[in-house]
Amino acid sequence: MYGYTGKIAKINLSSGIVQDYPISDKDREMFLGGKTLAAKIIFDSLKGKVEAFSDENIIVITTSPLTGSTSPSSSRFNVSAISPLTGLLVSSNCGGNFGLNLKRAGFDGLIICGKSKGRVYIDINNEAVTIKNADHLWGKNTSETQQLLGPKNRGKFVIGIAGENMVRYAAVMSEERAAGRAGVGAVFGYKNLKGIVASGNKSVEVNDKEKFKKHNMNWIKMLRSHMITGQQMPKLGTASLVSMMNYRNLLATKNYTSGSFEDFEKINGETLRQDYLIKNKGCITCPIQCGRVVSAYGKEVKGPEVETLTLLGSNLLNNDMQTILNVNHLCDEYGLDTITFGSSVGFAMELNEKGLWENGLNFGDCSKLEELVKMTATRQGIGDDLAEGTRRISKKYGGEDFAINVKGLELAAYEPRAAQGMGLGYATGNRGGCHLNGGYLTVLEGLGLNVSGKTPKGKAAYAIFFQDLMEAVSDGGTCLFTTYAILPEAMIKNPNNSIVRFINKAIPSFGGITAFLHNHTWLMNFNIKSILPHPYSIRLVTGFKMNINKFIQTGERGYNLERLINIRQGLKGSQDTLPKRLINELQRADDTGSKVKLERMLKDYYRIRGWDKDGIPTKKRLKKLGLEEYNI
Amino acid sequence: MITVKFFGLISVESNIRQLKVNDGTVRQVLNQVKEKCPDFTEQQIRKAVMFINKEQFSGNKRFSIVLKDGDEIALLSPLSGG
Repeated sequence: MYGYTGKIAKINLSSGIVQDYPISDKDREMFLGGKTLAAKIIFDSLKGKVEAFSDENIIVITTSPLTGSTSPSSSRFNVSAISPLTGLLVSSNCGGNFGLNLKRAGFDGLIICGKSKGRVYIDINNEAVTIKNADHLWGKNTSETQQLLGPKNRGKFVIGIAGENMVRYAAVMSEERAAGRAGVGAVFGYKNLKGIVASGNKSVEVNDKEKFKKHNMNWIKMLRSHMITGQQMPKLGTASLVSMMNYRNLLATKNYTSGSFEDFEKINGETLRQDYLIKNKGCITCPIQCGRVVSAYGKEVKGPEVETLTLLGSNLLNNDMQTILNVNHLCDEYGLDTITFGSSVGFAMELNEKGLWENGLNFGDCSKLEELVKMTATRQGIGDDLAEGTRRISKKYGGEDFAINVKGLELAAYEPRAAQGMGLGYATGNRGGCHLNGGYLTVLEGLGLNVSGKTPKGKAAYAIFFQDLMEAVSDGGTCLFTTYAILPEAMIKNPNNSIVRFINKAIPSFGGITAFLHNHTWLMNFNIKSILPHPYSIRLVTGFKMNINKFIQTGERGYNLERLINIRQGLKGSQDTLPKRLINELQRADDTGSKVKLERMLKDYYRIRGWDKDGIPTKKRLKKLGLEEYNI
Repeated sequence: MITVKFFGLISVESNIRQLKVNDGTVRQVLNQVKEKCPDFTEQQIRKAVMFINKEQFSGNKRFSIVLKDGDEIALLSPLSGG
């Protein structure tokens, strides 16, 4: 078997029994790995609607065929469960060293079910799985827990105090990388599972070693020479986006009342680089090295991403970079998602301003922010409410129209009233208001390219294409950041060129062609290694006849399967929407187009996806994807 | 005075964040910047995304726009990913 160890362990924390979970060769080829394989396992394992905090909920950790290989940026792995924040499926992708060590230990994935009576961690070494007492780890933060679990060459995946206290957006950490969104850490906490440690000396066979080596060299060269992955990301990290977002009214500010922040220059990537950056850091096998190392509390720690700078910065009218660095580090140590934490605090500030919840929190005053992390992680005082996320806070105190979440998951840093396609992506994302799962169309709408963010035209087709593409890239085991090298460099580098400006204007009109291609992927029954290296890489590792057609179809299959799980969890089409603030209120009073025109885009979206008017995948579409047996 | 701000790779490569120069057309203002900052090149000007008082301008006519005291030009390198 190539690209896989061939083993998935099912670990029952209630009984302590560990079994092999059968996955066929056909399943591997159809569902590949990562979040799509996890969705297949969850669909098959859960027989109906399941509550997140129940013994029936399962945690599925999956690697991918490229995980742990010499393919660039391939240390990724996935964790999925029913989310305590949304009640729907959550899949969280993570860097760090756990995924490749899990494979070295002899497993493609783990299924963790039941609930332990006592506090435990799971120790995996060369196919031997042991459930061990974790009393000595309880109450420890994520870095200390990882230290206590053994040397650095063992892969760890642990929760902090927030997970123990079942904060609904608790993260799980591997090194300093987070599986952050939608609260898998809280499911760990519910199950009394502090973490997992894995190591071993198993290796995974590659089908065509010579061609794989050559392909990797070319791919690394491509990533290093591209303006985004070779220069911008290493030099400025994702933080470089803050300035452009501000100028394009994309920077979430004051709980999404605005898209620009007067003091953005105090919290942007340029300031981070000039005044705070110690060095770059990146995941194993990654030539991009986008990570920042900064100082907080006298230690060298991971620096913030653009999401964190925005949600803990402009969204709170906080212009103090050092506070952001400190809070970012505290969130990692306690094991909290910085996006939902920042959004919850911003929402609480607006509720206080409007007199709906007197909590003492005010925009621009972030003197209590570091204390709030601790209060939230330990559920003390107002932290107990903040630990529930914006949707539940709004149920208790009001303000539902400006509780900035979709399906319960808080939106990322990009203000969609200046990027219609991103608005559609947030509304339709399977895990809720996530930019990546939503297709991340801001990359076209003003960040990478300069397609108008004001027009809804063509955006449904592009959102679908990118949603499926990102799904497939995750399934393969490669970091999503490698996809930025797909953007034509000539267009990015020459935004003022008349031909480039013409193409940017014309792109929305190509939506029809994109939709046609989406529904006729067989027309792409080939590989273009220099543009989309991912499917060819998977082909060389696994021996599967992978090409662009099959790659995109795998992504579409995953997206539809996740949708089916969500529908089984009670999702309605009416939840494919945005907070009323973003649909009904103008972002800028002098621009009548500065709100999200969702209705029109959503109709197109359902039609192109092959979903009915209620947002349910049709039998015809499921059959096309080989999912006809997946009935709900 | 006109404020000229630099962001992204332009800022890194030119090793400059902000300059204040005399009034004039955009072209005249940028020529002053080139004189003061030898690492700042014509190629960077041509390829930069330009905002004048927070509004984007991209055609060749942008260089003829007359700026007045207190105006701001922002030059950003195109970028992506996050």
